[in-house]
Amino acid sequence: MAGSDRRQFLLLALGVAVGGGAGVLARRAGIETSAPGRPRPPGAGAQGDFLAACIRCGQCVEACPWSTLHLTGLGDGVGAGTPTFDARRVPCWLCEGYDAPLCIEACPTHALRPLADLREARMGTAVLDEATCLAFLGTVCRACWHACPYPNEAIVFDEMLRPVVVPEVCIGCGLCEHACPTEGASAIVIRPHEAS
Amino acid sequence: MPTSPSPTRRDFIRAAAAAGVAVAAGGPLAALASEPTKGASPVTWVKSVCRFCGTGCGVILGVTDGRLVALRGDPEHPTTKGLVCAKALFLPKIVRSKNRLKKPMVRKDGRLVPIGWDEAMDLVADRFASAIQEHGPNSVAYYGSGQAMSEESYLANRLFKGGIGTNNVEGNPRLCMASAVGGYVSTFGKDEPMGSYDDIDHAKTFFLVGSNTAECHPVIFSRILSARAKGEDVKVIVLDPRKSPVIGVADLHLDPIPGYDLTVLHAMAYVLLKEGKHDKAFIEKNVQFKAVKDGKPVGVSFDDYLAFLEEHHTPEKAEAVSGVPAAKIREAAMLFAQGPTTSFWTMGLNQRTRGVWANNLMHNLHLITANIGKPGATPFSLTGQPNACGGVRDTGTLCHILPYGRVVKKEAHRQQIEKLWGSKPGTIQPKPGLDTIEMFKALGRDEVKAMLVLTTNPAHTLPNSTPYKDAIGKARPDKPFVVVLDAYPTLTTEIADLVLPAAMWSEKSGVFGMSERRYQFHPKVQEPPGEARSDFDVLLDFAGRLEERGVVPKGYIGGKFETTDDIWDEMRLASKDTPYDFMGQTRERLHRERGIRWPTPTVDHPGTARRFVKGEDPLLDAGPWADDTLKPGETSFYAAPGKKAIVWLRPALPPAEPTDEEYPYVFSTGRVLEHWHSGTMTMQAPELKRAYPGCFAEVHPTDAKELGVKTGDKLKITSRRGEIVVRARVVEIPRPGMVFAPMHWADELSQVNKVTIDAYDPGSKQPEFKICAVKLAKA
Repeated sequence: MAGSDRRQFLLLALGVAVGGGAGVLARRAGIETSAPGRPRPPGAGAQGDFLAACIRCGQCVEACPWSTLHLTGLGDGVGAGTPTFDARRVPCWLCEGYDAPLCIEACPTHALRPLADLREARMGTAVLDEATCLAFLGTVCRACWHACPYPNEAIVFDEMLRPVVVPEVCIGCGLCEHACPTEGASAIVIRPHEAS
Repeated sequence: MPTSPSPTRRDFIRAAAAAGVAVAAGGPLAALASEPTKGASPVTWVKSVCRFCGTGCGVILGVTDGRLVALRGDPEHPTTKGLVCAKALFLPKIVRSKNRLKKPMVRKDGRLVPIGWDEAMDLVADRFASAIQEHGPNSVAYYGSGQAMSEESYLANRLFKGGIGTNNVEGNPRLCMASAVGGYVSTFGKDEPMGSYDDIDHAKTFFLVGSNTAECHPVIFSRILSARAKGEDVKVIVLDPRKSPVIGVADLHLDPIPGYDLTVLHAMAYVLLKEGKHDKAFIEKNVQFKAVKDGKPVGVSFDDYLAFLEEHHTPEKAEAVSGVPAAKIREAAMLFAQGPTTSFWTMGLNQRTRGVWANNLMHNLHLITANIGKPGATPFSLTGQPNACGGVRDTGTLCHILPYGRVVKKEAHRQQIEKLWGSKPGTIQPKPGLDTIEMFKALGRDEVKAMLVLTTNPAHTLPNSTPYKDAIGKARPDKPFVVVLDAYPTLTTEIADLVLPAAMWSEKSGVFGMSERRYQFHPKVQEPPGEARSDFDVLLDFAGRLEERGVVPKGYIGGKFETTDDIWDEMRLASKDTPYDFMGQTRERLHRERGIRWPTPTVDHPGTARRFVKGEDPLLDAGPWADDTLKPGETSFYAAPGKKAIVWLRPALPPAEPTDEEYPYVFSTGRVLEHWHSGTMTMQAPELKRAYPGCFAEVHPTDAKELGVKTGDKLKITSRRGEIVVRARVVEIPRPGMVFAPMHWADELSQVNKVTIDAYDPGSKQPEFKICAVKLAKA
């Protein structure tokens, strides 16, 4: 919220109070609706559109069979009350075994839009920290590659068989972040898509 | 493959160095070091060896206040150069797991209840002694492990074969290495690779067969990657029905229908001969040809060999059988010929009913092209356990062999060992004992009355495991007595009659011998938890109690050894005047040096990178095989009959259980990088467990479509023996028609060995884990 002035503050306060409408207001007012620090459920699409369409009903959270999703708190400002997940804790298992992600089916406003293919589920993008990744530290490890639903596509190997993320293919499910065997924080973390 | 900035050898060294400093410099792994130390006490770093696979990575252990708190790669290690895999990093956590077994437990009314050590050992000794007295020595058995220390396996072998007088001495290397042993012995006269990891740095062609080196021997694979990164002229050929991660660096991938690859190896030999890529002078001097006729080996000629290949194994004929295009076979042969070529293989060849033959065919390729005994040229079987080579194969702790290349069938060998051990003449039986599968079958028939299982988990790892689990644990009148020594709860400890808590590797001192004949010492750096004791200590105790009961001569073991140091000198003596000669590997040297490769006949000998080569192998300079007619660099296969290695004309027979209409898919098992064997160690580290929380089955997209299965669906895999239900992973890794699942999980639905087949190689007695027929269904 750096540089936010009094008018923005008021709008944000309003946003928290009235939910989804604030997203629309915020966009109209040209306010940067910064993404929460966490990824979105599948089908959320562009950040601004999602914030506008999401009515903070929490039905996606209810529907999630893995308890992956939760709603953001007040600290998220204009995004407060919208769904997100912490992949280190529980990643998005892509509703394995179901025909389509249950959160999308549960969404009453199509804020989470039905997907023709799970590959369109752009929840975020995995970012690998070479400073903490075991493979880049000289330990042979491939846990993220193995966890990835699109191995050899979204996570590939460089010539030393170290993992490399292909952002164009990565859907941001966070299975890699969850699987990474570093202690504490993962060396590969899902970053939300930039606001559009 | 996307390209990243081209890595160089420097990168490899930098990476290795980074691994070395990761812990010490307070990197992400510092938590390992800092967590239990609470700040104050300094960390002492001690040289050791990794507990996991046969790569034998040099590690340095961080110890604080008598506790193992950290582990890092040893940058000074001559072959692994500071690299370790993710499993190794978590060893300190694995060792201090709260799930460690800490007290002896005995089964009473179906439940395990605590018992004192003294009472427990009396029970073991009573049960073994009464079985031996009532039913003879062959009513007891030992089932050991490629994870026990060399001294422990040697002591067990000594006790059972030369003390009790039974050859019912087996171990889990029967399940993983027996076919490699059979291959080396039948081709070269004696076991163990002639080359070493040094060859990786000199090879121009790598031939990886039935080996997911990238996951099962990750540090070896890193060295291959470094070698490849040095220049464009290094080529990698992969022969494997799976597109495992090794495919990422393959220049050529041949994917045979599982079980039909022998003909591909023959066809490569055919191409090499037809194209004149063979080395006539080398063959003339060092190679003989043999076939089996009417059950007997007979010598044949080079022309017979060529005619045999022409008749059965042209690339076109091989294509018809294996599904590998003839053009690819030709290309592979020509790449192989470029050389120098190093081949690596593991379970894809060994765990087969024709495992020995497959190994022979690998050696054939190297022998006809003289890709052997030169830097970068060697046929090399990789080992899966830290001490299958040094501990079980070399010490002769299997039912048919005796220490250091001797066999029970030969009277002279038995006499040499009886003399060394101080056994009563005639104690060692001339007939091989029961091999692993037959041993557990005999247990199921109540013919084996008492069995000691040590540092292995047969209830999980035997193929077609259900009847063998019953053999071990099913309650019945006069049930045989099964005692298990282990550090962690396993499927076997769950059903055993008596469970003894074992010390882990860092809690005892001893020697591991890894794939390249290097014997490495690992020191005790901490006390075991609770009442746990080392296998060595328990075996000594057991021997003493058997002596008291009169089933082993008094003083045969009792009073002779107290520590693993004490028995080492006898082991060195046992190796004297054998091709294994490591007389020069004194305890003092092993403490100081980072492992030594045998032969090492004298204390000033540095160890041998290449056997059978004049100028490198000390046994060609002095002793029974000394040969001054050879020029430096020349080869002499002195352990083989007539000093000539044998090229075998082996038929290419199909697997024991081909697919059919009812069971149309091939099932194969293996490993992932972050877990090991039955997972009893790696599952103790939450980080590793989380990396692979459960079993999965790889299904090719074509098959998945036909089955209507998506990634994440539950898949039922059923063979004639049993079924499992695991999550499908639809991925273009297995060949179409093949389904693959790793072996690490112990829950009822994930025990892959309920499905696998217990048919075994008639020569090596190694079962065909890698191939059986299954049907698949969405569950």
